[in-house]
Amino acid sequence: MSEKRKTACRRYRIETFVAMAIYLAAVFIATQVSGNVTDQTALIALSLAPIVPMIYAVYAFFKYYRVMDERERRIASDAAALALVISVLAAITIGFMQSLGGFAIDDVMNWFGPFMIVVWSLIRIRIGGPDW
Amino acid sequence: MENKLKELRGERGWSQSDLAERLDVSRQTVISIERGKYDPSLPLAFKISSVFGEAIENIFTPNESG
Repeated sequence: MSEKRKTACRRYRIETFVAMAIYLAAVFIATQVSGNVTDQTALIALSLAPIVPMIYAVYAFFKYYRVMDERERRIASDAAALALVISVLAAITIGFMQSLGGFAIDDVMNWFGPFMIVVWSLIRIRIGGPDW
Repeated sequence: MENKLKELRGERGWSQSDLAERLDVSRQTVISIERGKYDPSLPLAFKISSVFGEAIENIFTPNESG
């Protein structure tokens, strides 16, 4: 791996870790504080706070994507497609179960994204190995 | 697709990392191509051909399944 690619890989890992840490902190703070906030603008700001680190994580990924080689890009794309299919199936399954009253998970929109990211990571590791 | 990447690399005394550096791909990609787990795109195949100074058809040969 060239020095440029090594640096990009290291930077991507650090940026993703920082983004996820901020995301978790933002979610925790937002859920803790939101009950005491009545101002509508503050509530909107609180609810949108976790989105900022998510956007940063996506930006970090696409920056890294630009220095990936063709095989790494293919693995990332294949894993993303499979993860999307699995996540949609999971959402539909839970939706049906919820409609019939057998099972319920609130806030579907909150778990879908993180679930898909976890599935994407697992598939990517399965196809390409931990080092791609 | 079968290939003679490992053989040609060995003749030149290059490590997988050396070849990866020359091709501007990851070492894992070189490993995957050598093991026949990944078929390179046409641009990468041409790059491999140029790095080794061999014609593409001398490096890559289709296997029985194509």
